[in-house]
Amino acid sequence: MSESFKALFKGRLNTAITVSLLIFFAWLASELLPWGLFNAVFAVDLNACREARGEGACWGVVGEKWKLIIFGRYPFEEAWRPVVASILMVGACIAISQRQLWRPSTFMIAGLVLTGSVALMVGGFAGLSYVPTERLGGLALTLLLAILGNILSLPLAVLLALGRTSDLPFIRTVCTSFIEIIRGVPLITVLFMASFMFPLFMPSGTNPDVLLRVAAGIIIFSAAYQAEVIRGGINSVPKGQIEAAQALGMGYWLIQTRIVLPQAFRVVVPPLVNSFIAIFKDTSLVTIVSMYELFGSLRLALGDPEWRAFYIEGFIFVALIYWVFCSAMSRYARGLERDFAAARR
Amino acid sequence: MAMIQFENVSKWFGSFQVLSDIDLEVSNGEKIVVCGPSGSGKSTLIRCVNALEPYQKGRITVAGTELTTDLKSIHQVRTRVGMVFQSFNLFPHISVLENLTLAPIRVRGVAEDEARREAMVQLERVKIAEQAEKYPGQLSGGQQQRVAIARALCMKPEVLLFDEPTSALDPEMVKEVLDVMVALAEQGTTMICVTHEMGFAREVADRVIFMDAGKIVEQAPPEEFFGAPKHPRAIDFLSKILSH
Repeated sequence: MSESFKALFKGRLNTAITVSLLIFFAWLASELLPWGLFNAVFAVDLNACREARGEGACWGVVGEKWKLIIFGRYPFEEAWRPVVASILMVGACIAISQRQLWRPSTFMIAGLVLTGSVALMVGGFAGLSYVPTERLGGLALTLLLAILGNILSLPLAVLLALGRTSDLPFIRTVCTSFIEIIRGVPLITVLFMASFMFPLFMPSGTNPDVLLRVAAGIIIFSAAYQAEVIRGGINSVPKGQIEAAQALGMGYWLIQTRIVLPQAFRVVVPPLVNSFIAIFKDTSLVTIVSMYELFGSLRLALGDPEWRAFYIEGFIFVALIYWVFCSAMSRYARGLERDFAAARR
Repeated sequence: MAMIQFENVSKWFGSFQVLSDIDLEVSNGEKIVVCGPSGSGKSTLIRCVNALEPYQKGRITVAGTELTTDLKSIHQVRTRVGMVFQSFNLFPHISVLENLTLAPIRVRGVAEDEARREAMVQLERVKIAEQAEKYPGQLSGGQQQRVAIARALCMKPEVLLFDEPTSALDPEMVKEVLDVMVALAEQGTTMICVTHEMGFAREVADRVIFMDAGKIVEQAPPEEFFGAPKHPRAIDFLSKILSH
């Protein structure tokens, strides 16, 4: 028997905890498994689902509505475009998350791939039919907004964090106020403002695209949070590091980019990924301005009165998709932490 | 011509005066040891030489450049003055070799392979070339401090400042660092060392400067300073540190 297994039954208290947890899980399984598995209806059969209600889950709702949930209001006959775009976007994310690929060319290519993915979904060139941005939806929109909100916001966040730790009072005040104001309001407010109020301030006649406005709102919001996380990392770099760099004749930007930020980022990987995950899920708030990302599409799908009763199954399906992406990010962060810890030794 | 000149320099931290009316001239190739009780302003004095601390009154000139608040003068002085810190301050996220080549490449514009060659020469000099690919955290304190000295040397400084370079070291590692410093002194490097290593002071210093309460109260060649200190504070200080 392995050591950790033995520890489960070491002493009276441990044994009691182990046994009660086992009983709890057994009870949970006995409640959930019949509902989720044994008595569940997997076929897209509304009558069977209605009969099984209360006894078993109706996974048929997923079979019936998955097109709407995954693609939102995007024209289904063109569904290959968001599929390809999603694969490209996820691929780009995987590429830029490889440390050995961290160089400017990778980020530029990733940027091009991202732009290409949006272009592919919107179309209007090379024989691709035009799809207005407000019809983008489902998983592809969730991914797009999450990537924009987490990656494009980082440069802004770094500048804000540097500004807030700067010696120049004017810059410090501007950055501090910006961060505090944005952090002080809910994301919904920022999105609402970006979507409805921002156009009022623009010269009449110009009407920036709704996707652009929403993306800008998310980027600004997440940048304010990330800036505070990064500032924590910047403050954790010992003063002696900066003095040593100054003594070597290094200037402000060189010190920040080569000495301070690399050390700061190593410290803030866990809280930064925490904020990535939060933003990923927060993209679901864009339904407030009539953009139907994954969660919004589910609600759209549940608008069907026939299937509305089986909303729990729908929510579980969507929750699983969110979980897959978030746990992937979390795993990646753990790997990165290990690498950094190894490099320090 | 004086390499470093302090003229009537005063400095305050808030209302507390750390340096008062310092006059000091260090000529090319001279080796100075600064000592004194803690809080006497010795570290502040040498930190003023490369503008890690600003000063409020007087004038400091380093290698012909007057140190003002002008960033250009500060930069000019820093590229000519090397500094070694008590806590080493190596950059932990890059290798020893990169610690040595970063500033030469990015500040002095040396070509990459030339900077690497020079770095290896300096690592040989401090007898630690075999550690070039390691990270600072993998080295002992004495090794780290020798790397820090090599890092300063890679910038080809005209003056080296040492701020209590052996105070943070385990006793058995003090010697390896002092040996390197003695070798540097013998090669004619202009040095100002804040240190309590009186053996080192006796061996290499041209002049010992004793500070108390922000003032230079005594300066003399080591044999004179240790043999017959004049100022009562210096006598008191020496009796305390040499009594064991």
